[in-house]
Amino acid sequence: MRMAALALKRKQWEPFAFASPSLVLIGFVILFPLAYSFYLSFQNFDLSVGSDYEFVGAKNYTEAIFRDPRFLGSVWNTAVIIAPSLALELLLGLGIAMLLGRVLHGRPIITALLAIPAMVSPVMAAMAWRMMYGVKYGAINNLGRQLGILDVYFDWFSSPVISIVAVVLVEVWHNTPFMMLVLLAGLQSIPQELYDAARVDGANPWQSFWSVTLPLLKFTMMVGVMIRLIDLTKLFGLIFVLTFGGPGGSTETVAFTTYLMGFKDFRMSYAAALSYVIVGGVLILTLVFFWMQRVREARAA
Amino acid sequence: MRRFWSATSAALLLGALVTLGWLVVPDRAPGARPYEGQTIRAVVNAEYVKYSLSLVEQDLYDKLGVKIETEVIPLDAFVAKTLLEFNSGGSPWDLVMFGPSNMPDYGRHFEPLEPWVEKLKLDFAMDDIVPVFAKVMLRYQGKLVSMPYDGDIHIMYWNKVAFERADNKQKFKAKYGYELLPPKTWKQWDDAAQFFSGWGWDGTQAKLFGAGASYKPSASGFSYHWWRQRFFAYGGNYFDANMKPLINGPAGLRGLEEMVRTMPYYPPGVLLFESEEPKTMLIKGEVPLLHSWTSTGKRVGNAGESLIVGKAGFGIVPGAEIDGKIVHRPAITPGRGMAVSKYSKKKEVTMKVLEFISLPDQSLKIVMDAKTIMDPWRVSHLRAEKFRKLFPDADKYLDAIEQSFPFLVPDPVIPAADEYQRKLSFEITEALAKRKSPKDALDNAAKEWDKVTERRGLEKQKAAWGEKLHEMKQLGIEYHGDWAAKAK
Repeated sequence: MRMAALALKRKQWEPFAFASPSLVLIGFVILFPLAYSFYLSFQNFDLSVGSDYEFVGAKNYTEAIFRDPRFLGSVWNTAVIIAPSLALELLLGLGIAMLLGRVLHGRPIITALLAIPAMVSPVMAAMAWRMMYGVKYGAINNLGRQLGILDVYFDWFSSPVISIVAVVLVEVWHNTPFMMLVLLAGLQSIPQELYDAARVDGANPWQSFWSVTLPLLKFTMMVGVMIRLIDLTKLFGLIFVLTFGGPGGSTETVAFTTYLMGFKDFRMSYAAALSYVIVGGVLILTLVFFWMQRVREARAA
Repeated sequence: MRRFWSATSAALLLGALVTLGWLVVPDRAPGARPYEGQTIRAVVNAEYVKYSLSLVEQDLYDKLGVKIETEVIPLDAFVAKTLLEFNSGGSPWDLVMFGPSNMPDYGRHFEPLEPWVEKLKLDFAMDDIVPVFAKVMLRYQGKLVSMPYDGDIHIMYWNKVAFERADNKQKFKAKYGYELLPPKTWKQWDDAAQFFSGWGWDGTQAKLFGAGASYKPSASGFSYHWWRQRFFAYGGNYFDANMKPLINGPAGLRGLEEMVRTMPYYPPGVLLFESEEPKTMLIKGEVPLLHSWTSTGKRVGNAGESLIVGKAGFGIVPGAEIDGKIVHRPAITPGRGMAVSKYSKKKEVTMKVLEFISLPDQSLKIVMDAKTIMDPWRVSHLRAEKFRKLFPDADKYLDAIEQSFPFLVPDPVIPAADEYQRKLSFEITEALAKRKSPKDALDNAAKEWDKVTERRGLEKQKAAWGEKLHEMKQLGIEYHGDWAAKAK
């Protein structure tokens, strides 16, 4: 009886014992920085002034949300970059995934080739595109000249609007393969029988897409969009290399502004508060997105 | 017995050879390499600065026996990383490179030099340092804490082909009503930029541009350097005596409006240009005019890359004509200094190294080399015959630098100087990108400056600025609210 109790106890603590090294590591490299930066966000730690700091309550948060036009501007810039990027990535990703779904031979190879951009690091991608966007010697302008649609001196960063277009193009090139892979997996999980049944019922391809593919792909799309949304709010490397937030502050994203506050102005506490404002914003967006989805599903039911 | 004599003869011969070697090789002389076997750690912000130290490395070893281990922290992270170390009360470095405009934030971490000058009988040849650098770059709270390493200022460069072609001169006079000459005022600069923009002013069919500039936002405050040379020529100053920003007054506004208006005459991509892009356009003959760092001159004269060797003119940055007299206000932009860390455990040897790399002949090697981008900061650098003959018209280039010295305007060297500059620079680029009007941009910048002042403590900042204001007055730089309206 006692042996059985001991064995039961062992069964209870054993998993924790095995997991403890990784739990300690996670605690050290993830939880501690998170907790420390949250603590720091309520202080006034300014590295350029010195190592002393004191508690200032929610001052950093109120400044970020109500009194910092540059940060609020960067929220808008991020939204302006996210919206077209997400829409294009979703549409192109879906289109390519559906085309791939029809490929009978060599699909793995074609998929792998199409996924290459997603494998390139954002900094490398940005450097390559910066050269391609180059005035006079850039590949894009020279190709445009061959086609008679662009001047070699066309400046892709001459105005805020064109710069945002340039950033979105790189972002879409870089991340559409991710959406394609996610949606391809989703498409392949839809049973063929449903399409057969739709065809027997006289549905044309468009109706089949609208009534079978889209409803069954909705959850996968939602997951893909959420992952990309979270990813895009952290948009930094591409901006750092491609535009450095310019021209002016037109491509300054929230992550980039946070970097400037922390590592240029050395306002570590304020930068920590900005990071938590961003996390809060993404959390709210995610919850709203899921809530809307549930409401829509409830209505449909 | 024979073996004994052979061994003795060999030993004697060896001894004689060693003694001879000791006497013949000069660096084996008694007292040489007094710090043999010691290595100091230096920190710099770019590979080319590390390279510049390598130019004196061998002589340093031969003379003192010291080696330098140089760590490069990239420019973007340099201030953050070094200050993080210093503010935590230590540093792994003995010799520290820094931007003089950040002196108020770094100064307390540096070892004062004067006590060591006494103790080690150091000679920094202070009289040979360009007076304006000696006055504004080297002291913290009145104490000498650093030596210059890079004497950055802006001078003007022009392509003589553009300015000397007869048909260009004729066309220009017909359009603007005066002779085409290298500009002396900003008005003339803007006219020339407009005139040269968009056509082959070198006689070719190429599409060329009016002038060069660096307007990249945020990081290094490039656009701020371009704006402030107009701003000061129009009578501006950073703050009044009570720390109220004066940047959004008439002088600032006029300067920025001119920059915005003339944007079309600058090359495509200028809004994201850093320091090197316009220099390259100048030496490739794509822009006829540029005011830029003095290191540009060495690229102009480098036949390996420059197409305008012997075809370039050098002069003082334009100014404004006030009451019939031209007021020039070229900028110190901002240079580099070298100091000894207060936390170094090898202060004595580091002081000797600082003295050595600052010696007129050693520092000349550094500032003459085009690859270092380090600029002259000693009077003897400017007068050195081998520098004056380094490339065609090198003498004129060095003279232009020397002519600029009496008019130089320093950065606002008070705590958070870097932050003030970046906030202003950002707003200037907002106006250049037409996201804000010049007035809104400068008003915003002034508000941001107020916030920085408030965060750092108004009284503390006021006291620091008071000293600088006095220093600037001594340099002949004062606020003139009426100049912007009457400047020609």
